[in-house]
Amino acid sequence: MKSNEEWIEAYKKGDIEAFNMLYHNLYEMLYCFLFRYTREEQLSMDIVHDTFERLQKTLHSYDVEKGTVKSYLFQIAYRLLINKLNRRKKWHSFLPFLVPTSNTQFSTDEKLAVQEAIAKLPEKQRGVILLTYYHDLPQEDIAQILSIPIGTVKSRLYNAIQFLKNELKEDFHAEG
Amino acid sequence: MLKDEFDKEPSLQKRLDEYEVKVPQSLAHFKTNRWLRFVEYLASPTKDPLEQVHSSSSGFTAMQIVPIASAVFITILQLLIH
Repeated sequence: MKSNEEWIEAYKKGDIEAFNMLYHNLYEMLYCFLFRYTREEQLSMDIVHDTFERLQKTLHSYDVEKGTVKSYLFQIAYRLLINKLNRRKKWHSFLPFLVPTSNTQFSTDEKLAVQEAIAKLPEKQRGVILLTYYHDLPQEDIAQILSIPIGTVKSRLYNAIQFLKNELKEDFHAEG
Repeated sequence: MLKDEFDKEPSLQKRLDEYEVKVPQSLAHFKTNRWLRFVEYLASPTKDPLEQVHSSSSGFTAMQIVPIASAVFITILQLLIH
């Protein structure tokens, strides 16, 4: 079975099926990251598509020696996400009713608690914890994706863990 | 690995593991049709701009009266001008 890096090399050589394979391998992972970050289904879906469109356009600027395809796509997706959120904040100040309501998928109280806790995290810490815990990315990749120094990744992770522990404190006590 | 930091926090790990995401079926195929995506955006739920007005009974009554009162006012205004 080929790796994502091999698929992208094949796509560079004109193999359209290689692009479909890349999409198939990576769209779920990107969607999960975006959804956990925003809790908005439509926005997350749009950014997944935009990310792969951007990959098609910037294909030749991808260098396998600089990082994995997975990190490269996360980097594109995160930048698109931040741009969209910033643009939305501007629109929201002019026309508050144009901002779509979030389409949340709560099913149980426990899930609700952890979703709420992650949503409450400051944006800078949210990205770090999602990429670390759910996508198991190395520190260097996270630093590259979020465009922050490596040392900042660790400090933000520490702060995020403390924040979540504090937010979910009552749940832990109820459990114990 | 950075994820090892969570090994010291088993309760937090358990909670984080509960956060599963259901990926929409429609995402399974890459769509290049921007028009279709724009239509989906238009069809997505938005906040009701008059929610605060019609959520109270007085606000709802005002919503019914204001157009009629405005029509009467404009009619009177036109009659006075002519």
